[in-house]
Amino acid sequence: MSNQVCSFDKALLVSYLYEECDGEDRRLVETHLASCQSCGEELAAFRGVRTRLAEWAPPDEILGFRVVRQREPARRWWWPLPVWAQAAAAILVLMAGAAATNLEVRVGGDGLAVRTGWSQPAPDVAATSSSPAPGPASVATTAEPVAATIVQLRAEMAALEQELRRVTSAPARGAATATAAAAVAPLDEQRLMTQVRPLLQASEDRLRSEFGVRLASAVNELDTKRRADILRIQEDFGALEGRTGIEVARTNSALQYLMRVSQSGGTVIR
Amino acid sequence: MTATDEELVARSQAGDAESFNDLIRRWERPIFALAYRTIGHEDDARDVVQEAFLRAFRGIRSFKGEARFSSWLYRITLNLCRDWIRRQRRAPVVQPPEGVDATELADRLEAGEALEDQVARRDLSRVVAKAMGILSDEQRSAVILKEYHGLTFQEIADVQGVPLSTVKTRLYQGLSVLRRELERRGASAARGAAAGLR
Repeated sequence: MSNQVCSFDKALLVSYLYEECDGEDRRLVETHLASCQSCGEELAAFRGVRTRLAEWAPPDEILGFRVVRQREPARRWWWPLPVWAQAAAAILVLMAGAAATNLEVRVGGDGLAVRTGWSQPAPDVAATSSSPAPGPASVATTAEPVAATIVQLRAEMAALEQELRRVTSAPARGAATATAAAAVAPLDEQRLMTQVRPLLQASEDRLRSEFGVRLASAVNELDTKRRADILRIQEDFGALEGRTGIEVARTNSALQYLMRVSQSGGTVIR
Repeated sequence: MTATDEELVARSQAGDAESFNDLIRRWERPIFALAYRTIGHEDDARDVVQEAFLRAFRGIRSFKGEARFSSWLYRITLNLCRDWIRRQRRAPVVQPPEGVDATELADRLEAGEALEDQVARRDLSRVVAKAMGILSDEQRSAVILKEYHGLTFQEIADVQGVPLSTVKTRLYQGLSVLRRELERRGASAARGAAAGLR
């Protein structure tokens, strides 16, 4: 190997090595190689390196990659809403509905009162109530043109309100009656007892009479049953006596026969 | 009739994923070889190839066709390899398994090739891989693209984004380093040269 350093264009030498030079460059390189031992050895060494490089083979394997399109599932509009947001939305809807119907919910001493803006004001539900109901809203009296569905909704709401009022007013009336009765109780107690006592007495008499009839019936039935039992016992006893008499008669007959045989001293064949 | 890369690219740009899969099937081996020789680890090379194809698929609409599709794919792969090397901070040298499994070699014995020859070939491959690890990233990429993928100087210049003269300089420097390293490791380049002259 020559230690002489050559200043020849190495890029041209590389082009010649890889055969990527035109005819003129090729002739230029070949002319130089004919006279330069260093470049000739270097070129040979590079060819040897290329041969060695060919020994390096990567693992031969099929990776099998594929591009697969995945369709995203259709997202429901409410899906990303958290629970608190859904609850808030529900409250907003209820508030909007209440505002649209001018709904009023009142809880007082006279019970629960629910009123909508398109219905008449509810009368006082308790006789003892002293608080006047608030005035009616003007929605019901407004002569605005409404759609048929709105009218139907109003009718249904009115019916619902009446039903609710009827239910809520029933306990209040019961409470009022009890209060009135408690107020007049000391005055009418004796008269009430006078009226109740005969009723109680009559009831006791009726119970007593009925008890006596039932007791007599039971005694009578028990006596009848006793008599029947005695009669049946007597009959059974008589039958037993009859059977005993027959047995005695047979025994007597047998004894008489034996005595006759013994007196005659012979054999008797029956 | 086999479709060209340009035709498959055009279909892929129109939204035909199956055409892109044809491109993958066509180029997965060269791309894997490039990644394997560049970073020197088989499993990591597989991951790099997968990511390279994924990036290519995502960016297929931006591919203008000014260069060949393969050159574009090489550039994506080399960029990923460079990122991998920077992340790992380890020498890009192939780490073959310790020792030689004679049973495995016997199973894969090629017809007419002796077991000793296979072992010798594997040893030579290991020497070459270690010598390649000595090169700089730019030199190694240039040598790999030229020696194993047959790219022209201009194509390598396009992939690396450097002038043509820079590519030739990198190749010359790389071959010079490999020559010295192979001689030092006992795999005489002269012996290879003699074999190549036969």
